Amino acid sequence: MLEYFWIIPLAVLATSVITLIIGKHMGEKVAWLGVLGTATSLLLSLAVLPEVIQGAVKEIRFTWFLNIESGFVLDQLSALMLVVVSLLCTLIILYASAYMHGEKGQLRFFYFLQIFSFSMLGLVISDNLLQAFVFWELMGLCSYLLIGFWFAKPSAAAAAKKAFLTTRIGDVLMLIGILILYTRLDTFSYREIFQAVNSGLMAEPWLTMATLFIFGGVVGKSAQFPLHVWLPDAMEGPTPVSALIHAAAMVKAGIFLVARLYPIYQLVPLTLETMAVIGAVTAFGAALMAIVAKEFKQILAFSTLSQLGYMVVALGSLGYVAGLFHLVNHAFFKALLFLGAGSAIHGVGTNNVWEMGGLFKYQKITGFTMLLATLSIAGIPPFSGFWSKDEVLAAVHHHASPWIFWTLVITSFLTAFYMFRMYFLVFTGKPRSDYHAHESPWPMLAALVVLGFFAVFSGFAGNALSIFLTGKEIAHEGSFVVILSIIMASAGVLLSAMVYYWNKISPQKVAESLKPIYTMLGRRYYIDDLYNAFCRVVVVSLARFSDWTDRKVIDGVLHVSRDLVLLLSGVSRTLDLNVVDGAVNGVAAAADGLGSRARKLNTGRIQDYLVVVVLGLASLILLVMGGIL
Amino acid sequence: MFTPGLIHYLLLGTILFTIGLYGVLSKRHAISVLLCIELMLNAVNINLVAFNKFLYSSALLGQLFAVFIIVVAAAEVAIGLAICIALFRYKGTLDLDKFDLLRW
Repeated sequence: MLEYFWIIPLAVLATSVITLIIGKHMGEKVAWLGVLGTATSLLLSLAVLPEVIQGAVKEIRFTWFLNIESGFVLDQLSALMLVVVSLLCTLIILYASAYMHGEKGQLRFFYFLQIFSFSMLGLVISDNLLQAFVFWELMGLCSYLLIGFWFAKPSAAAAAKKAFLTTRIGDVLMLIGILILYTRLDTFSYREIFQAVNSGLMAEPWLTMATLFIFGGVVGKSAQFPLHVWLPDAMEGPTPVSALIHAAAMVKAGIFLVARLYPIYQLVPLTLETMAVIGAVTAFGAALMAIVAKEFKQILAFSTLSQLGYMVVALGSLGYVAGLFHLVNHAFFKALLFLGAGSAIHGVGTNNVWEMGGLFKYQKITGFTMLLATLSIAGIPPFSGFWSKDEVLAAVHHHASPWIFWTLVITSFLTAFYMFRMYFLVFTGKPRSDYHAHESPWPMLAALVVLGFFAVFSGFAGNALSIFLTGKEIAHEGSFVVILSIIMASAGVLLSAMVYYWNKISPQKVAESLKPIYTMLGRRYYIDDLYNAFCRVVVVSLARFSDWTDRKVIDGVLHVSRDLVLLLSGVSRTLDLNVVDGAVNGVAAAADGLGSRARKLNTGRIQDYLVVVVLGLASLILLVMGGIL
Repeated sequence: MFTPGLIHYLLLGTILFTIGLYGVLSKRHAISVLLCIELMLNAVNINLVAFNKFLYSSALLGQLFAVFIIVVAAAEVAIGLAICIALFRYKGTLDLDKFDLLRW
């Protein structure tokens, strides 16, 4: 079985092809093809898992094109990612089968989702940077296509474009990093790169630069500052898309890649520090923006940015297991949060949390599972988020600067605060607008319940995960960090309750008194405006320049050549008409003139012919007599 | 007294021939053309007889040939008149200027 592990992504690819072929006639049932494909991948991933736990590792190599080799690898990290990703894809496509009911473009939607699943699964088993890059870009494409699924909506189309272009900038940086490695080591393969670096074949500025550039790609794909701007806008896509691509899977690809390349990343302190700083900035800045966000999915988008920041900081603080642990836990509860949001928005009919309220009464299962997820992300024990966040903080406390540590600690407090703000505003209290909500259909609820289960229990797998990935148990170094994180989380929940549940403090008054900060957070620190202005300036000036070149230079050349051609053709025409035609016509006219004159000799009267005969005879006689003839 | 020599008869013949030739070339009526042809033939006869008499008086070849010519001329006139009758039946006139079917 292990030899065929590379079939796992192909299962989804196969169902996607079937979707293309017969999907048109299937209407909404197309979704079940997607579920079939991802479920198959899930079962296969689970099937190979036991052997990998035993320690088996499998690699397959083949020659891709020319002299480039490629291949697939099944080790602990890829086995873990296979299971997590395929599970999430299955659950989310299941959810989407009900959520997308009544929408047009079913075939398109589920086809893209399957292609995405295929790409992500392919990425996690790739054994070299080039193939990984191909799948990386494929995911970016699917993200563009799915964010812009409702392409007729201008904001959706713009968001898709923004996402694609922003991640593209990251991708270019990543490609530079990959090429630095290739030009110096002549290989794309992970194993050969690790061997070469460990043998010291990589001179110093190059290794740092390669890792930094590849991290650039991570900054783009995992939406870290300063390339984070696309993620909040990406909420324009349908909720299953937000859940799968922008919470559970694609944004994790960057974290995964760093984890994959960890043998070289852990050797470069500069890159690690850079990662920690960027991650911390993103985590903190996004948390602040989440506090004032009005739309349900926006809050979750900022939350994703923030939690991704946590993972980046973890990896930047030598917390390999911590980062991956948080990745797994976050995937589950963030997907759950998004799916629940979809359920709520669907039920209420609005996106704005200020128009919701008291939803728990109408959507009990959604409300309950959402509560589990919120408790998890806030870091309340014994839910999963607490365990992984604690690990992250422990790693940071141990290896990173105190600034980073305290930034993350405060961010935990903020996280608890804004997540429960979201929960209280939506599910508790009285409805703030007139809505009729009912509980969602069973495929959606099934996904919520399964994810809820994981949100509660996946936290207990921390030690097992550590042993699985690295063979070592998690080191416990005392209770300072643990107690601190529990205090922060509880304080956050308490404050949130005071403002939004017991209504003791008015959020509106606070916003008024801190108006400039409130506005700045609402405008996302004006970073988007800055980028837009920059692009406008650059793009407009480039456009002006091209236009000038096109009109003056290129068209200028065209005009000159046109005039030249006209001149030449005029001369040619004159020649042809007057000279050539003149000659031809002249000859014809001569023949005609001669003929019309000569034929007058043919009078038809015999006497005239006789005259000629006589004259001719006379001249002959004279000539003979004169001796000439 | 003036005795005509050979040259005078040849001159007569020439004059007659020329008059006849002129008539053939310029007369409009077909019968007139036939008459002029006769005239040309007779001028030739005079030439032949004159040569015979003045140069070879013992032979009769020239006179003989002249008699031949007279006979042939007669036959030819018959045919010529038949042609004229045919022409007349075709066109209703014998004005040679009108017979220009081979005109351009």
